[in-house]
Amino acid sequence: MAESLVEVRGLTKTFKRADGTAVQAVRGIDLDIFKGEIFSMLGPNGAGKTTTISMISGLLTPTSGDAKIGGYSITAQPMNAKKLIGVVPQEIALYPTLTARQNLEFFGKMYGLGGKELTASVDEVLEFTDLRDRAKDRVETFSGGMKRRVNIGVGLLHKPQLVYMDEPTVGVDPQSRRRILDTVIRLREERKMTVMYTTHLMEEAQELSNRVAIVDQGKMIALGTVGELIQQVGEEDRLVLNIGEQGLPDSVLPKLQTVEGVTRALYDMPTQVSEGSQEVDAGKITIYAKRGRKALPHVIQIVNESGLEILSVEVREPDLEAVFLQMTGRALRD
Amino acid sequence: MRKIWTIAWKDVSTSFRDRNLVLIMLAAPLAVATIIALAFGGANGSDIPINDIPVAIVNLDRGANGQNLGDIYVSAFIPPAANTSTLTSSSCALVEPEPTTADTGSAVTLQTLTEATVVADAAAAKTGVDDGTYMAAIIIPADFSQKVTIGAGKMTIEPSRVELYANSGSPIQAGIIRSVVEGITNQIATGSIALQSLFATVSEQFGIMQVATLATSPSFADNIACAFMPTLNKVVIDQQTVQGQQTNGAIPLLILFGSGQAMFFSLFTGQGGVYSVFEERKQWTLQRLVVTPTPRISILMGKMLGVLVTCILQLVFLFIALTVVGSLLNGGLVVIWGNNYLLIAAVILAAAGAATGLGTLLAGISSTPEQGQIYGSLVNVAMAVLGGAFGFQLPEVFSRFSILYWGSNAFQKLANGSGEIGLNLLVLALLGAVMFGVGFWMFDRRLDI
Repeated sequence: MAESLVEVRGLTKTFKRADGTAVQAVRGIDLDIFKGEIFSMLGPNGAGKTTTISMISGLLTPTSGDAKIGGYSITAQPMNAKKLIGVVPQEIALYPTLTARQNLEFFGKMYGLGGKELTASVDEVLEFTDLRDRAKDRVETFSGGMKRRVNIGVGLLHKPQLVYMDEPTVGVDPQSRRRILDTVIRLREERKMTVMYTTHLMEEAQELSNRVAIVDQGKMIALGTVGELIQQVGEEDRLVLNIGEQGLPDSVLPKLQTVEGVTRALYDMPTQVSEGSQEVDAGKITIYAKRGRKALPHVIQIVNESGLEILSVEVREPDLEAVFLQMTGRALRD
Repeated sequence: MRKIWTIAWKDVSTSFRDRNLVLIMLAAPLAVATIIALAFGGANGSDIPINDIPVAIVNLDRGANGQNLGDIYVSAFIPPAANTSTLTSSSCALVEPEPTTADTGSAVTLQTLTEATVVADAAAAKTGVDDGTYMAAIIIPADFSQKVTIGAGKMTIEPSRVELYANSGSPIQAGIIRSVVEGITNQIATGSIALQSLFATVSEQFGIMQVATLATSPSFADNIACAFMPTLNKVVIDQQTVQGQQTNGAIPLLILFGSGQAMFFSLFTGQGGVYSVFEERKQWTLQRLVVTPTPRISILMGKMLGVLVTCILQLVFLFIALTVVGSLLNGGLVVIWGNNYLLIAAVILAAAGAATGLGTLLAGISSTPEQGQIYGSLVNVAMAVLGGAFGFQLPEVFSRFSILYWGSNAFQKLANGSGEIGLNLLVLALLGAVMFGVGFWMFDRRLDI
C-alpha cells in the first residue's frame, strides 16, 4: 500500500462576510496524498480548491479539522510542516525589482538555507528552470512565461517533499503552458517529488495526474484515478449541439431520449459570460449515448424538425468533464 | 534574527531600486530645501535666528587703575545682575533692557544670540570646546586692562590679545562669535583711544598736573567707563550674520528648511514603508513569506526594521547632500550641522524611529490601505505645518505637538553648536516607541492574510 505524505481530515473553513453572514468555503474534506504521486484537485472557480490548499500549506488556519504533512500537524507543528512544503501560487509572487537570483536567494534564506547550500540550490533551480542566462536580470524585464518559471523555482529551492502548485498555467501562452506541464512531470520523474496540483482545466488534470479529486462547492465529490472516475460515468460518448441563443421547445428533449443508444439529454441555456457582459455562452444540448456516432444522424433530424438551427456539433469521448457534468449537472467551466 | 534582517535588507534594497521612490525620498526634499534657501537666502543674507550659541568666557584679567575691562567684556555676554562688577553704580546703563514682547521678533540681543558661561580655567574652557560643550572660548588675558588702559605714568595703549578658541566644525557659529569678540574689543579699544586722546589734549593744553587731577577725580572712573561699554553701542546682531562672516546667506535657510523637509519626507517614508506590507499582500509575496517556516512576528518585525533602516538612510543621505549643497553655495567645505556627529546620529536614529512609529500607528488605525493614505497625508501635513517645515512658525505651544518640530529643532540646535537636545531625543524616542507599540499591536490584528 502507498505511503501517505499528506493526511487531511475533516478540514473546514468558514469565512465571515462584511455583512456578518458566514460562508462555508470548505466543508469537511478528507483525503490522502501518497508519496511520489501527482495529485490534482479539479473543480470550477470558487469550488474551494485554493482554500483547501491554503489550509494545507499553513496560509489559512482551518476552522476545524487538521492536515498532517509528513506526520507534522499544520496546526500544532506548523514550522516543521512548512519545511516540507514548496508553494507555487497562482500569482507571480516575486519582487519585480530584484533579479531572478536575488528573488531565489531571498526566499531560500526564508527557508533557512544559507552559504554554499543556498548558492548550490539557487544554481540548481536556475538550471532546472532554464534561466541561468537571465539570472542577473530583474524579474520585471521577464516575459510572462519566464516569470512563471522563476515562480515555480522559488517553490523548489529547499527540495521540499511536497510541491503545491495552484493553477500555474492560468494566463500563459500555449508554449509556456506546455513547458510548465513538462516541469511538473519532471518533478515527479527526476526529483521524486510529490505534487499537489489544482486546476479547473480538465485536460491538465487528465494528462498529469495519478489521482484526481473533484471538488465542488467546498466538498470533494469524487476521488480516484482518471480511469476510475471515467468509469463512473460509463463508456458513453457525449454529443454536444450548439444552438446559439435560440430557445429550446419543451418537446425536444423527450424526443431525443427515444433515439436508440441515448441514455440522457440535457440542455444548458445561453448564459452571459460574466455579470454585465454582453458576451453570451451559447445554449447547448448535451446527449449521452452508448454509440454516439451512430445516434448522431437521428439526433440532428429531431432537432432540425423542431425548427432549431444547429450551429455546430461535437462528439466527445468520455472524460473528466463528463464526470463533473454527471455529478453536478453543470459544466466544468468558469 | 537572521530572517528578520534578511526581510529588512530586502525591503531597503527594493526601496532604493525604485526610481520613483528615490525621487520622492531623496531628490524632492533636497530640491525643495535648496530652492527655498536660494530663493530667500540669496545675497542679502537671512534673518533666520541663530541663537543660544554656547560660549565659555575666561576672564583672567587682573585689572588696572581700579578698572577691570575683562569684567566689561563678560558683562556684554552675561547681564550684570548675574555678574556684579564695580561698574554697577555707574551712570551708564549697564543693564541692557529686556526686549519687549513687541520687539521679540526682531530684537536679537547678544544674550539671546549666545549662551555664555564664565569658566575660571582656560584649559577647561578649551576642553569644553573640544568636546562640543561650547562653540567657542573667549580667553581674556591677565594683562588685558593693564595694556589697553592708560593711567598714572602710562600714557599709551599697548597691543593686547584676546584669545578666541573656536570649534572648527561649525565655522558659521564660530565666525559669529569671532565677529562679536572683534566688535567688543574694538569698542573697548575705541574707548581707550578716545581716553588716550583726551589725556594727550589735556596734558598739552593744561599740563600734566591737570591730567593727574582728572584721572584721580572720584566720578571720572565711573563716567569714563561708559566709553568702554559695548552695551551702549549695542552689538548689532544683523552685522554678525553668516553673510558677515563671508559665508553664503542661504546656508541658515538651508539648515532650517533642510532639517524640516528631511523630517517631513521621512514621515512619508515611514508611512509608505509600513504600507508595503499591504502591497506585498496584494502581489502575494506576503502570502509566500507566510508559507515559509518563518514566524509571523518575524515577518512583521523584519518589515518594520526595513522601514526604520530606510528612514535612517534617507536622513543620512539628506544631511550629507545638504552639507554638500551648503559647501557648494559657500564655495568651500562647511559642515552645516555642527561637528557633534554622535548627537547627529542619535537625532537621526530617534527621528527615524518616530517616523516609523507614526507610520505603524497610521497603518494600525486604518481599515484599508486607501484610508491609511488619506489619514497619513493629513497627519503628515499637519505635522509639517505645526513643525514649521513650510517656512512659518506657529507658537511653540502648538509646535510641540509635532514630531517634526522635535527633530528639526534638534538638528538646528546642533547646527548652532548647542548640544542641549536631550529633551528632543527623549520626546522623539518616547513618541516613536509608544506609537510603534500601539500601531504594531493594531496592525498585527488587522493583517489577515
